[in-house]
Amino acid sequence: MARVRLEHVTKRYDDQGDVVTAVDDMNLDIAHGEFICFVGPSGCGKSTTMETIAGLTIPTEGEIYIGDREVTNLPPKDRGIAMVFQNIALFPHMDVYDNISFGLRLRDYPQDEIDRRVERAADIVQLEGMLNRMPEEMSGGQRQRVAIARAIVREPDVFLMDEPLANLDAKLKVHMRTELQRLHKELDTTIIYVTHDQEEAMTLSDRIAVLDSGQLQQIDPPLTCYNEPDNLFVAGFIGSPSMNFVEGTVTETTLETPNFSLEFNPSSIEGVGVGDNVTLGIRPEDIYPGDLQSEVPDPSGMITATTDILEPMGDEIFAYLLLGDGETSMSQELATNDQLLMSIDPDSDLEEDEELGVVIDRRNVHLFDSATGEAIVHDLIPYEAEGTASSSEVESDD
Amino acid sequence: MLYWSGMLVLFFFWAYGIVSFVLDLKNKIVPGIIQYRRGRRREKAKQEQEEEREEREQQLY
Repeated sequence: MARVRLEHVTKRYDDQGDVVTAVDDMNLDIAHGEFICFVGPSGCGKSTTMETIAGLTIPTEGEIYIGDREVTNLPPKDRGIAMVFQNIALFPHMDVYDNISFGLRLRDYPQDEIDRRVERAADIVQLEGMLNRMPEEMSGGQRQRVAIARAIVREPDVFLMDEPLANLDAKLKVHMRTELQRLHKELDTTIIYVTHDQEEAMTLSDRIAVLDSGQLQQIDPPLTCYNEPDNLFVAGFIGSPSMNFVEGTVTETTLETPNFSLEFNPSSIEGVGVGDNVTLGIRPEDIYPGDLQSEVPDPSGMITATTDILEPMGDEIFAYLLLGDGETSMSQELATNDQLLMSIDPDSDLEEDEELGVVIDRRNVHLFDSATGEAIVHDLIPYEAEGTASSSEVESDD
Repeated sequence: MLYWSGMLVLFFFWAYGIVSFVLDLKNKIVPGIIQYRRGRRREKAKQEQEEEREEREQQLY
């Protein structure tokens, strides 16, 4: 059983007298056969965490367990793991067969066993008939499959993958993503995958571990991270395009923001009091043009906005809406109080600089504590009886 | 007079040369050697680290 556990793992580097904490008190419990993705922005500690599991870096504090063994100070070869690197790292002077069998030859496996494993791995990653080719004669995707086959032949307890698709073009990336899912299903092995691409993480993993500044922000299934983010960082990082954030203040019956108000009952939500400063999180797909108000289960009042920019994506259009006085803010703040991003149907006849009314689905409005960034609630419960469109009485401030 | 002028010119450049060499030795040559040796040591340590890292990575192939 290849369960992987990290207990209070911390990694500090001494950078010319300054101590840099790359991983800060990380606790993880990864089940056997689980596909888990470490995701986060550059410098968040995801690769360092993986390197501590791989044995490429020894943690400053904490313990790492693979299966029942503590492996914190063991060299990589004794951990029962194989790793696929971002730079692929094939030996250019060896053909595909020699590249795949490198690890087995290093460990003095008998020739017939090497042949059997290489053939099986080549079969899994669909490289049959290419075993005599040199790496330079192969495409990026094929080279990446050789690197994966090299990991498969080791029959490891755990696969580690450090941004293996980062150097591939968009089309090949999508194809390789499917291949990896198939591979996981076929091998039933624990896979730990590092990526900064949240789309990759969402599609591949059983659970996503979101990291920031060396700290674990949330570890949950992809849809839980998307629908119930634990804090502002996770809410802003997971989802493309990103969630809209608007600063607001709680009153007795509403949530007041600079440009609109939403009716809700603060007493029904634990942790919210009148006068509290909160940040509203609204996904672009939870904002609807006013003419669709009747189709929204629990709509807000009509909010007046002006379309600024339209971005047609083919299957949807991203509409940047200006609220209030219609001025575009160049603020670098997380919350953009005077701007909302809305995702609409591609057949919509909306045009730029058009004034329109929009409604927000209050069932999917997230509330975060402005001071701590922690999530308070992921659904604004209507103030009056459910199902009534009472909120339509609440008018936009402008 | 000619003798003293000649001696002055000759010994001025002789002394100037010695002083200049000592200053160069102090300010350029010795620090340059120290820096070169420090650089070599750093490069060697970096190379050793890279080799060690590569060797560890190869254990994961």
